[in-house]
Amino acid sequence: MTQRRHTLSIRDQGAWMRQHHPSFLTRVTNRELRSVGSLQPTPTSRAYSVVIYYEAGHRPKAFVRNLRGRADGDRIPHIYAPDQPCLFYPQGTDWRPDMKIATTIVPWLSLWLYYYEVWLATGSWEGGGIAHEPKREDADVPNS
Amino acid sequence: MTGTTVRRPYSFIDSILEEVCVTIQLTQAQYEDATQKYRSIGGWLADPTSVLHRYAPDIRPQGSMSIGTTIRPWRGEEFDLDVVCQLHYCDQRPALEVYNLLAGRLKEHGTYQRILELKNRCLRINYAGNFHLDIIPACPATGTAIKVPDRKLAIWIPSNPFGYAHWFFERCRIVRGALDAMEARVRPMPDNVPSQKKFPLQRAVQLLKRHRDSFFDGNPDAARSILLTTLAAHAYQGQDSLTVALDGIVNGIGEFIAAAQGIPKVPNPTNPQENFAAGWNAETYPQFVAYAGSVRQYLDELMRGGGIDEMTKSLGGLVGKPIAERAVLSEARETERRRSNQSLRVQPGTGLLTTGSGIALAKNSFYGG
Repeated sequence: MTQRRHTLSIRDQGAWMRQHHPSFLTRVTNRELRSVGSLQPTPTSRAYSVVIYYEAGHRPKAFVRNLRGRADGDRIPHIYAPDQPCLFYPQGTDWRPDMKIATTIVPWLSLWLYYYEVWLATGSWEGGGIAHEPKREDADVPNS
Repeated sequence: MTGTTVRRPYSFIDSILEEVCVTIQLTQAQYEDATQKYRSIGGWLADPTSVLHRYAPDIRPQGSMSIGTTIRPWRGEEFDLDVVCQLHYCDQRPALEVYNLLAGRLKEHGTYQRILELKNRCLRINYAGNFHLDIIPACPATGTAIKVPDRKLAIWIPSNPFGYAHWFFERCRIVRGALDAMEARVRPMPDNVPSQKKFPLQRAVQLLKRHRDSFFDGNPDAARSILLTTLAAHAYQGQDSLTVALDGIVNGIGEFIAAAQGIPKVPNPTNPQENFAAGWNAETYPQFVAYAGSVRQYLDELMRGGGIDEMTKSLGGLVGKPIAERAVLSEARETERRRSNQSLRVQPGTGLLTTGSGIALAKNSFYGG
């Protein structure tokens, strides 16, 4: 396969989502993709309702319903908002617009959910990552 | 974590229970220390200058160490190793004479004579620290059977620990052919097998023993290991998932309790005259029933799933919270290791993490504090 470096269109992203994750409900317009589905990282885990949102020119976002903190009051690590995990380092090259959301964002989200449940169980985040810098990290991502 | 949700619904719990078994088995240091002491004492008993030498002593571990179901001692309790010292050409001699022959040899040793304790059915060597070695004198009987001296009664008592081990491994679906061999003088200790290589029945017995220890917490009425092992081995039906095996075993024990008229017996499978449950009475049997109910309850919660956090709480009830959390962390580190060596996959559609086929995980760093 030749290396693909050009930006995938919203419609291409939508097509890959439908192919890889037919159980997700994926809707696309010319400007945005919205895909709703359920992820369960292990057979023991809860099944989480998730939404993937992608707007042309911005980074993809993932939202999860019903996340909660620990009983001891610890806040969930690696999140932008209480329902929005941070799946990749925005200043780096983890995700680029030539990558398929279906094979990056979705698997990363499931992995994040696994470490989230482990964190709920033990209070320890085992999934690694980079700590937030003080400045606002998603300044170029408008609120959806 | 392997396989699919449909075929292996307990694959994750299996991995976690295996991690638990690694945590509750003897440490390598405990194992090596026991092995070294076993070898030394075996050498002393079998030495050509020993009075026992002409009886061709055959020294081998028995009990949980020989069947791979040993667990770490509970809260500072002693850890022991049972060793049979089988003499030959001694079956016509009085039981006490054979017992005293062995005691005499141990008393010839500067160290052993100081830490030797003469028990009714064995000779105990009390080492510094929390370890003792019980040496059981024995003479051969028929087949794998032996007879052992009862010191108070001054008679021979039938016993068959090697037949039992053979039976147990058959229940595990293997037969250790070497059990009946006679060549080795001091037989090598079975390896401190990594838990992952143990049979589901062995692991299930370890878990039952662990809950026994926490449930009874030092209460002397706790069910004996040989009793739990025997009930588990009878109830086991060859399941290869540890969770499903344990579930079946606990159900089997429940059926055994339900079918019992009064206080049931648990015959030694290699000597039906011997009742492993001889200690059960109107006071102790209900405690065993409560223990079995407790295992059933935690196992039900464990198998219900509902999130790794909920599962960890139930597992904490079964084996203790620190061990449960440690097992979940070990499994997470294993997942992280698979992620870094790129063997971790994600099943399309469901998001199930797997080492089977699926979407390879691209490199990423979770972000934010």
